[in-house]
Amino acid sequence: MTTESIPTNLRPRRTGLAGLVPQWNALSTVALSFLVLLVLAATLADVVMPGAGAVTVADRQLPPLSTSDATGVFHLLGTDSLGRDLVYQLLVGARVTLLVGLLSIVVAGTVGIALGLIAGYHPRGVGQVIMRVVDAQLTLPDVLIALLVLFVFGPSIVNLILVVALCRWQAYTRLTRALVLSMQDEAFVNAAKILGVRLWRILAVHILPNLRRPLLVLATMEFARVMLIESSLSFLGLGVQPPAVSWGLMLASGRNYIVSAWWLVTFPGIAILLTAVGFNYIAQTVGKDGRRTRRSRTSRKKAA
Amino acid sequence: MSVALTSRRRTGFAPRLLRRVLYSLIALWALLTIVFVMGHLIGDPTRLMLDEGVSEQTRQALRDRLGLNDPLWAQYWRALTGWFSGDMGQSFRLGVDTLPLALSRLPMTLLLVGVTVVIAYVVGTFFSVLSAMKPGYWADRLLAGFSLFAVSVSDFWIGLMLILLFSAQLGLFPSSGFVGAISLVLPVLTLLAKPLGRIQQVSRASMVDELRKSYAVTARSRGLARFGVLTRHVYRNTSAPVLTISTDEFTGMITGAVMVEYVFALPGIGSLLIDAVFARDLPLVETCIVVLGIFVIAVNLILDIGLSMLDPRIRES
Repeated sequence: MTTESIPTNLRPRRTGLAGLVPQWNALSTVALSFLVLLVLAATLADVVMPGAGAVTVADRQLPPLSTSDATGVFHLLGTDSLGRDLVYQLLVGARVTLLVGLLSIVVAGTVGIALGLIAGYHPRGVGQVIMRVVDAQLTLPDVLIALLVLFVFGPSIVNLILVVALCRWQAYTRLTRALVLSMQDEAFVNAAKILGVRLWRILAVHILPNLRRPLLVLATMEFARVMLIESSLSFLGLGVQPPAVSWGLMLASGRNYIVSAWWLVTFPGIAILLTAVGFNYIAQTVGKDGRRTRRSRTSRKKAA
Repeated sequence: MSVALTSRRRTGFAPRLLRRVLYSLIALWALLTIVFVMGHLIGDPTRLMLDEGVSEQTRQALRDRLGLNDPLWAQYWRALTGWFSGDMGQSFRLGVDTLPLALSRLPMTLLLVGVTVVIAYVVGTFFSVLSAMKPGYWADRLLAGFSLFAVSVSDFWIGLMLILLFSAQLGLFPSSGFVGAISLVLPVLTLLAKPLGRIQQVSRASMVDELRKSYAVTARSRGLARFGVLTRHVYRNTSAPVLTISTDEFTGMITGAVMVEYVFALPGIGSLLIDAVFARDLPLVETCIVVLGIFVIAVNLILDIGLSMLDPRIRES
């Protein structure tokens, strides 16, 4: 009791994000700032760099850090095979990549969480059926089935979002079901039941708000995963179609110039990598606390 | 009393095995049905095969030849029985039976995936022992950073970078095709990143957890070095969680192998699939997906059974 009430390592009280997420550190701030900057830059690309998307034949395949002879414009990451500035192209590609990721997470999350709530609340009957479907999907190569669906229906952004969501809904269902099951006997759930609260209200108002944090962590992690699936499908020509641009598609077209223009295939991949690392790192940081605060404190003591 | 006990004991392994086999069969049936529905129910398969401008006569002749004017249930039955007897139709472009063609490409894919799995497991376990030796120290942080990048990278992009560096610039390794073991070096390195990173993360986490358990603490207090505790005692108890994630990872690795084979033009079933997609060769696309799907289902079944034999705790849950 006494050892419990006297903290062994006194740290100054942390405010803001650091107060909300105990494991928050400088690197998480870097990761979050990168993602926020990326979204801002992608939205404002046309304001900040007017005319950078224009096709200029004279400026084809300028290497990074070069200045155009024709227009005198400085190109930080060079230009592509049509003379368009690569930074600008990356920002335009970011719009599609991030939007496809976000929307497929919304679709997969909504469907997956709803089914998970049902499966958790009715572990037999309907819940059994849902979980069997989840099991079946886990043993199937879902991305290959997605490929078949896109092959038959034809590639488009809407189809891409639906197909990616189809690949990943079960992740939310599994987590939601497990959390609901673990909450089944909590006092507040029983109290609501006894008071005669309707089933959907118990699920939506009493249980769902308690699942916010783990589900948010999952969704953040899934963003990286979904982005990688999108880039694979677009790379194969079954995802985003030209003239729209996405990072996966930029890799596909850059592949043709791999010998003559290395930057066209290098930078879109770095963009995907950094964004995915950002999402995964934030998910790791937020996911670590809560469950493991005590544990990490003991390991810190040992390390010190 | 004793009867009840033995019967309870029996609900352990055999029924579980049967149930798992049944689930795998259901997954297989689902796979075949999805492939059939995709290929036949939606729209007109001849639309995918023929160009836009062909006459209605040609289209109808092809429909007759493929049996597309028969009732749907008859087509479904023919497809299922055909698949189970090993007849999956002819490639539309190449004019040969698709199944022998797909199977002839399978060994290359097996080799690529097999070599990668073995290296990922060995290196991943080694890295996680290094990490778990002193959690929080520089080696652990370095390796944690490495695994974070490894799981976040698009695998085919690593392939492109390796081609850029080792084939285009240095000319050390071939960038496409298969001319012997040297052709596998870059593809394996490419495919390695994701499973290596995942195995490392899961294995480190469960090792750190296990090290806190009383048996590990006892071994430590009796003077066994941390390294010895990890390799002799803890390691055995972490193989189950690592195998559990391998099921999930393995499915992803097959997709990764398809991409890697396409990037390096390795003559495996993955590059056959992508070529068939580009050639709009529906029967061949279907066959490749079914063969890869059966492969994934079978490996998952074997992993699952192996896991429950390895770790009795999982059998009960």
